[in-house]
Amino acid sequence: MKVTGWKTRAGELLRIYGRRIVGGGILLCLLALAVSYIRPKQQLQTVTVNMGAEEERLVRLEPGVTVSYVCETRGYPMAGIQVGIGKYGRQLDTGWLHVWVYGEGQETLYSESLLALADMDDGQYVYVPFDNYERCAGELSIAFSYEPEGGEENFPGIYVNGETVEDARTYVDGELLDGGLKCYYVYRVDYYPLLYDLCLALFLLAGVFFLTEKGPGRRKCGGNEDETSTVG
Amino acid sequence: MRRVPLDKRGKGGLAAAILILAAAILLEIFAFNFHGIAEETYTDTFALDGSDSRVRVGYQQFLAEVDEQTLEDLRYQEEMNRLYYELLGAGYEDQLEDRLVEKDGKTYMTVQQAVIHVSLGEERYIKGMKFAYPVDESRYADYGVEAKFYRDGELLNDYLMYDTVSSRLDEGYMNVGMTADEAEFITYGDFAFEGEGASVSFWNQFSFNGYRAAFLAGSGWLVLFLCMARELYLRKLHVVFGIVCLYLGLSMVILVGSNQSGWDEHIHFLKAYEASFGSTIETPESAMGMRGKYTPGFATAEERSAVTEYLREHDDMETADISYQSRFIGYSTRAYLPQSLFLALARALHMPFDMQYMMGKAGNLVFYMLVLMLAMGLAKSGRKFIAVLGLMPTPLFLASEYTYDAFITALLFLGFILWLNEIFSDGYLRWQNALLMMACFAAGSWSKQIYIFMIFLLCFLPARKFRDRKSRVFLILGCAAVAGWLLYSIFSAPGAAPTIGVGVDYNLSTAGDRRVQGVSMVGQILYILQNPLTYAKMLLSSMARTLWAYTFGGRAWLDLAYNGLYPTAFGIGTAALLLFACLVRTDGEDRLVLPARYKVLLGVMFAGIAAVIWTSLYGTYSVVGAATIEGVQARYYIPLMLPLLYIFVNNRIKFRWDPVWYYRILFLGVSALNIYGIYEYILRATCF
Repeated sequence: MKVTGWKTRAGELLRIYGRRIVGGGILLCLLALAVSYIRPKQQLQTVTVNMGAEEERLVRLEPGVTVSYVCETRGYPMAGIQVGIGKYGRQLDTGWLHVWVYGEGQETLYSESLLALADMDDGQYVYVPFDNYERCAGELSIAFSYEPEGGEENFPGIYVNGETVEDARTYVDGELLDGGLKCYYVYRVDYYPLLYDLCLALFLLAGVFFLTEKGPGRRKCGGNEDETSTVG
Repeated sequence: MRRVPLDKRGKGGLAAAILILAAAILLEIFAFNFHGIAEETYTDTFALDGSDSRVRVGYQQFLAEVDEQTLEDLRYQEEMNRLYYELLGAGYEDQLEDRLVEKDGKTYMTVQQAVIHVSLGEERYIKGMKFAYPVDESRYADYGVEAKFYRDGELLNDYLMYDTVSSRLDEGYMNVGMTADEAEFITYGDFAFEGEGASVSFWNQFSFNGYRAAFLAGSGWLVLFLCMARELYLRKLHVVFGIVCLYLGLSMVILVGSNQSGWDEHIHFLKAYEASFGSTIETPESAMGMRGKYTPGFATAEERSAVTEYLREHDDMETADISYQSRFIGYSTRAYLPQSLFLALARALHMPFDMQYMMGKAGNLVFYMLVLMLAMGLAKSGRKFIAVLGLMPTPLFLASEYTYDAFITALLFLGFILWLNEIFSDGYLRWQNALLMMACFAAGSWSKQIYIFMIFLLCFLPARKFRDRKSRVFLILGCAAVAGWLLYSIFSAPGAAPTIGVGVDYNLSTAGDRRVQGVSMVGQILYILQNPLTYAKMLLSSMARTLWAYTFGGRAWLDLAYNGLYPTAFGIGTAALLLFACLVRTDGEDRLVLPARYKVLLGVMFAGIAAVIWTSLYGTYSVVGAATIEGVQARYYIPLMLPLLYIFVNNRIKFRWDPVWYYRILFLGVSALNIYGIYEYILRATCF
């Protein structure tokens, strides 16, 4: 292949400024890696836990009834849970779904929240976010109950099915349910943007760093000369 | 050879090109449409609902045994159908489970067949036929139809003629090409055949097949070009490569069309399609079908038209499924970027969906062609190797469908050529060359990390390439770090959010290909450690047994995936071409022979990476303790073939004739292989 003028000039510039270019690239990678580590981004991740349709039914959340779900968070803090709320096809625009999250042997209250039933559709899988989610790791006990407002006589139900999950148990008013709560676990997980690429670029640049020359006016004399042309 | 003045050659060439075009058109009219001209043309339709006295319908039902794999495929298809109907907002009636019967520990499926006799009344030449069967969509099924033709009571086709009637098209087409007076159809379906609305049509018509005529003319022109070119071979071989690659590759792209005949093509399409969007993915029904592999395929030119119409009708972005993704393109998806780019371009140009699908494949081809042309342009020796390897049917087919293989092959070839250039030159290794080389090996291994071992070739560059010891040591450390980083990414996605559910389900003890039951990475590793000699013997015997077939003998070069595999005898052709290229040299060729130590190095690298490929498939695709290694395909050797050829390069055998003929033989050889394959396995099988 013939070597044209611009190629020679570009090659010469790359030779002269090689160390600065590669060094600058390495510094840029290191800086970006530091930023990536210091400021990780977060994303919500939904994990399907028990959503089979077999023996699906509603457990009645009558006032005073508590459905407790004891589960293992699989090593990560849980940001919330999604459970199915049914209204039995009735109008139910008042009242609240009260959710408590306990940890440490079910003695410490980690999170408490009230969700308005008016905001829920019949059959909707509602996302229940946990406060202080960083603490919600290990074995958790999540309790659900209904709090009516005024003289409301209707009540909602919570979806369960006939399947059991290895590291979870469901209780209705303290009695173990034959089956399990239908739910998704929701996690808030960190990720480090560009970490893979930055590390790869860093390794590549570091590998070639000492192949560069020191810079204008400081080039070593002697040795093998680079070829300036190739034969096509 | 006598030199002909350019103007005369030009005129002769033009005349030959016109003759070729005329021959292709005449062939199409008088040979392929002979019956349409010489005999009566007609289209006759028979209703199958009992109203037509020329038709008799009978029924039968029996149990057919179903193996595990078929059952898995059926369940997968059932799930796809269910998702499809959920997307349409329609209810789906589960068909499969009701038809399965367990008996004596085996699974059987209830098969309900209709046997339909059609009397044509008189002897007629049947060019083609259509079986129309509109089915209520909630009872979705692909209905199979077996056809038998008779003349004077004698069966004409002793081979199976079978077609699938997709309920998405409500019809299926078949080429017949027989003179018959009676036809019989046997239906295979998920539910009993009901004749209402069903019909069968036969015809004999003159129909000009543009695909066929264009391919014949184009192939003729290609041969003419290869025979007439002279200086181009000697001065710009990469341009010859580019022209041949583009013609043959585009022929594959266009003729295969929307048929998903590549290895796992729907999965590769899904990734390329998603990467062609930003954060919001819009998936119309046409794309959904391609992703889910339930778009109807075609086997005739008429069926192709019907499928094309279906795809265009269901390409409404207004009703597209919407999903979201991170804007950042994951590293395992980057090999699809050329395909994604062309897909996005086709969408921006408002091309119909079938064209969009082909454009994505063309993106893969263009990237492959350009990178290999660059490698040829930069190569100090061995341009012909890149041309011959790059134009073999399988690599070219891989570059003409949705896959990452072409991206891998192209970049690894380029990286290797840059390495060879350093071996054959005296100057110091320039940092930008080293960076480009390492980047080629790294990017080429993004999707198949196993090839990253090729980066270690840089560690064996001679000492004269380095100014000092420090620069060499750092380069070696850099290579090791890059290789380690890529290999680490097999087990963990660095920087990515942990996939919590997957992390629980897929630990090393269960890791492996989900399509195979009984695989376990840890189990297999333990087995190998406990039985090192047994495994070594199995590995070596597997590698030795397949060595010829997977390198020179044709399996790596003559496999067009689900389109077909060339007969074994064609392997002689690939071996002859490859050995001719590497053992014979011409005058004026930059033939640089590697020193023996580098040949040994390349041999060790080839054997090492091949052993890693076999071992990784033993871990992920073979049952623990299996007596054979399953899942290794010859195409995995393709990126390793360029280094392998260099082992055989020598200066002993010389081509004594005009060097131009040397290159003509090579290019005509690979072109002939491709033209045969495209004609026989793609054009004839799908567009006649």
